[in-house]
Amino acid sequence: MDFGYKTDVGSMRSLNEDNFLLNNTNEKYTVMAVADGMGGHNAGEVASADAIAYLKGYDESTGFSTSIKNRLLSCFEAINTFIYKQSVKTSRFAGMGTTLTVAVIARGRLYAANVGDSRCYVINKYEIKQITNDHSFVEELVRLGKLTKEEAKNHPEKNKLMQAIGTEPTVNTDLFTEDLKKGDIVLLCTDGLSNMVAEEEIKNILLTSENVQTAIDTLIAEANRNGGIDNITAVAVKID
Amino acid sequence: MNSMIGKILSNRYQIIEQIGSGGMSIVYKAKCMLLNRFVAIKVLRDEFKADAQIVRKFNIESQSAASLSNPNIVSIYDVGQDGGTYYIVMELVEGITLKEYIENSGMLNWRLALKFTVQICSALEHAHKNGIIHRDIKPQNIILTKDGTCKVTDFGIAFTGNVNETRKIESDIMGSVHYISPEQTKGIITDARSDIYSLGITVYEMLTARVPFDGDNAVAIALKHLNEEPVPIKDINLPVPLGFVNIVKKAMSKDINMRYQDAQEMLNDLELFSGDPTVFEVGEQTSIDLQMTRIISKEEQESILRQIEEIKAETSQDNDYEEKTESRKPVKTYEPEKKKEKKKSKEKKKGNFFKELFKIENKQDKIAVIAAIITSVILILAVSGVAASMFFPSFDLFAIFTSGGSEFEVENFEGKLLEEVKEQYKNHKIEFIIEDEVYDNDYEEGRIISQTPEEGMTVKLPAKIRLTVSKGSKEFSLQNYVGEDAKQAKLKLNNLNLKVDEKNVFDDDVQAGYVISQSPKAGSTVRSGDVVVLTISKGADSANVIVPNLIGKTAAEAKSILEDNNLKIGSTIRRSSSKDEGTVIDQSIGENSEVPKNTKIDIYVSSGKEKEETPEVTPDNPSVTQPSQPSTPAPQQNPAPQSGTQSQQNPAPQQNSTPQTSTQPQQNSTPQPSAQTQPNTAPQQSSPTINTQQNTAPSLDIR
Repeated sequence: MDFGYKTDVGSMRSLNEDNFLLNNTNEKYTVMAVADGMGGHNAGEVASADAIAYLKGYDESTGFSTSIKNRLLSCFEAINTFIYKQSVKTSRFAGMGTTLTVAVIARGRLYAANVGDSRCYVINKYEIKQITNDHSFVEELVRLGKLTKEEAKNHPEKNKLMQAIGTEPTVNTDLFTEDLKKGDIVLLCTDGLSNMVAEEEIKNILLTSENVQTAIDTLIAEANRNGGIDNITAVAVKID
Repeated sequence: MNSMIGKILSNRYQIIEQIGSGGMSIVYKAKCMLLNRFVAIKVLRDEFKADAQIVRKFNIESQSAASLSNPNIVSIYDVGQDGGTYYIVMELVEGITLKEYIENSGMLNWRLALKFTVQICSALEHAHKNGIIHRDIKPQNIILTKDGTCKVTDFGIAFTGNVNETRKIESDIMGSVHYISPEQTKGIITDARSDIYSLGITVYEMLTARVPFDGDNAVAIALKHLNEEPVPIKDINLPVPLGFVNIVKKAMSKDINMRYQDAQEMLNDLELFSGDPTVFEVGEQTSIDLQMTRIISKEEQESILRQIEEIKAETSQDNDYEEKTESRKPVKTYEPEKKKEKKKSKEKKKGNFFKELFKIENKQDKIAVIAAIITSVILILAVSGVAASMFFPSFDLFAIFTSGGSEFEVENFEGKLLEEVKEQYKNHKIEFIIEDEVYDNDYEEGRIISQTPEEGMTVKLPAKIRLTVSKGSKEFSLQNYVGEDAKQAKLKLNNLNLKVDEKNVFDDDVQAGYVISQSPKAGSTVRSGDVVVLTISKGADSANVIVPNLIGKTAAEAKSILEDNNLKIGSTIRRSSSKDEGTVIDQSIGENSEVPKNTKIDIYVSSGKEKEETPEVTPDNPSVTQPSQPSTPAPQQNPAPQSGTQSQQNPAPQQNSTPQTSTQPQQNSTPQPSAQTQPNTAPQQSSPTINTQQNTAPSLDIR
C-alpha cells in the first residue's frame, strides 16, 4: 500500500496544533487520523496530541479488526470524555478541544468517523469525493442549501465549529462508509489544506504525482504557496 | 492571564480583579492611578497578540469607538499596549447585563422595555452617525446601571468577522447567533441595518423573556432567522400595545430594505409612539409596513385596544411584575443604601418626550431594576466573597492582596520539583494533592506539570492545591528497523513519538530506500521524544562517470587512472601482442563510455610477442576466475573481445551498468526535467522530504 504523510506549521502560525496517525502495520486494517487542536496556551496542541495518543492506545489494545463502526463510536466517546475531563480539571486547559477525523480501511471498505471540520476524501481518476461532513456553522448552512459554496468561502464565521472533541461532555460522532476500489486514494486532511487548495487541485496533484508521499509534499507546498494561514496536515494511502 | 492581577499597565492602570471574559479578551477592573478612578480594562488574550491582523483590528476599531461620547454608550478612555499586552481602557459600569435582568425578572413591562429601547436606539443613532456599526447588539452587551440607565458596551470591538485564525466552537457563537441578522448569516457585509435587526430581537426578548428564534444549535437558529416568523409578541405578552409591536416587527424584518434604514428613523417612530401609544395601531401610517399590520386581525386589534385602555386606566395598581419585585424582602433592606449612592439626577438623561410616559412608572421601574441588581449580587455573593466589595463600600478591595494571614496568592509551581515545593511550604497551611501522575516529554520525573488553582489566584488558608506531576517520559525498548523499508520504519518511529534523523548514503548491498543501520541499536531503552538515527540506502552510487582511455598505459598507470576517475580495475587479462609487455592493449569498456561510478573495467595487457594460449587472470578479482576457466580457446576470444564474451566473463559490472546506461536516454527524453520520473531513483528521492519538495516545485509550474 503506497502511503504518505506530512504535517506543517504553515506560513503564519508559530505553533503546530495539528497531529496525525497512520498505522498500516496491522494485517487486517489500516488506521489513519488527523486532529486539529484549538484553545490558547498550547492547549490546542495538547488536545490534538491527546486525541491521537488515545486513538493509538485504542488501536493497539482493542483494535478495529471487527465491529469497526461500533468501535469507532465508542473510541470517539472515550476520547471526548478523556479530553473533556482534562479541560475541566486543569484551568490551563479550559475550553480546549480538537477536531478528529479517523479512517479505518478494512476488506476494501472505508469507515470514516468525524467530529469537527477536518476532512476525509476519496480520490480516483473520476472524482474527488468528500466523505465526511464538516461540523461547521457555515458548511451546515451550505448543506441545507442556505448558503452557496461561494458565499461560504468568504464567510466571516467560516471557522466556527458546531462541535469539537473535548468541549462538551458528550459528542455526536458522524460515521460514513464507502467501498473502495484498487487505485483509490484515501486522504485525510485538516482545514489548513482544504481551505487553501481547491479540491480539483488536490485531485490533480494526487493523481499526477509519482507516488503518494510526493503528492502530499506537493499539496503542503501548495497550501503554503497560497498563504498557509493555518497548520497543514495530510495523510493518504493508495488502495492496492 | 490571571497573572495580570496586581500588574500595572503603562505605569498607570493597576489591575485589580477579573470581571469578565470573552472569546478574544479578558476584562479586568483596574485603578487609574493618574486620575484616581476605577476603570475597566479589556486585555487582548495572549494567543492573539502574535497575530498582527487581529492586533491591528483591535487597535483601529477600539480607537474609532473611542470617539463616541454618549450617555448610553460605555465610554472608551484609552487604548494602549504595554510590553506586548494590548488593552482598551473603558468606563467601569457597575450593574448587570440586560440579559441577566431579563433572566431574573421575566417579561418586562412594555413601558420599561420602551424606555430601554429608546436608550439603546439613541446609542446606536450616535454610533451610526459616526460611522460605527456595533455588529453584535445583544442583551449581554447592554449594561443596566443602578439608576436604570442602559449602556451599550463593546462598540466596534465586537470584531468577530474576518479573522481567519480564530477557531471557535459553537458555544462561543450561541450567545450571538440568537441576535444575528439574516444577512449576517449569509456572510454579507453588514451595515447599520444589521444593528437595527439585532435591536429588534433584543426588544422582542425584553417583551417576551424569550428569544424569537431558538433551537438546538447555531445552525437551527440561523435557519429560523432566515425562514421563520416568530411567535407574535402579543401571544406571549398581551398588554404590549400594537404600535410598539409593529415597531419591533419592522426592526426585525428579514428583508433589509423593509427595516428601519437607520437608528434615527426608528427613534422617530419610538418618539411618536411614546407621545401617543395608539399611533401605530392601524396600518395607515407610512412609517409602518402595511403587510405587517395585516397579520393581526381586526378582532384582535379591538381586543388589544380594549386592553390598552384598561391598562391606561389602572396605571397605579398596574401589572403584577412590580408587585412581584416589591414583595422581595432584600429590596427593602438594601434600598436606602442604594438610594444614597444615587446623587445624580437621572431625569436629565432621558429624552423629554418620555417624561410624560414614564413619570408614573419611574419609581416602580427603578425598584425593579434595583431588585434585579440586588438579586444578582446576592447570587454572586453566594459564589464568591469578592463581590462583597460592591455591597459594602468600606470593604477594602486591596485587603485581599496585601493580607498575609488568612489568604494566599497562588504562585507558579509549574516546572518545579514537587519535593522542593512541599519543603518550601511545609509551614504554610497548604495541602498539595497529587491529582494525577502522567508521562510527559517536557518535564522530568517529579516536576509539576500543572496546578489548580492557577498562578495569581487568591485562596483562603488552609488551602488545597491540586497538582499534576510528571512521571518523566515513557520508556520503552527500541525495535529493530534494519533491513526494513525506510518509509515504513519512519512511520513506525513517528507513531512511537520518536524523532527520526535520517542519513542517506550510497550502498551497493542494500536496496535503495531500505534501512542500513540504526542508532541506538535495537533493544536499547528510549523515551518518547528521543532521536533515532536511521542510515538509509540510496542504492548503489548511481552517478555516472566517463571511462578514460587506458590503451598504451602501463597496468599500474591504468589502475591509478581508473581510481582517479572513480572506477575500479577489474580483471587483468594477459594476451600476446606486438606491443611491449605490460602495456594495456585494450579495455573492456571503451573510452568515453558513460558508466556508473565504481564500475569495474577489465584491462588487456600485452604479454609480449610470445604466444600464450590462455589468458592469465590475476588474483585481483577472484570472482572472474570461475567463468574464465581456461577451457575457452584463445582465437575465439580475439575477434570479439569487446562485448559478447566480456559480458559472459564478468557479469557483475555488466549487470550494474547495462540497465543504468540504458535508462539514461529514457530519462533525457521524458519531458519532465527532474530525475524523479526515472523509476530507478524514485525510492531514494522520496525518502528525504526536503529533496522531494524542492524537486516537485518546478512540476507545479508545468501543470
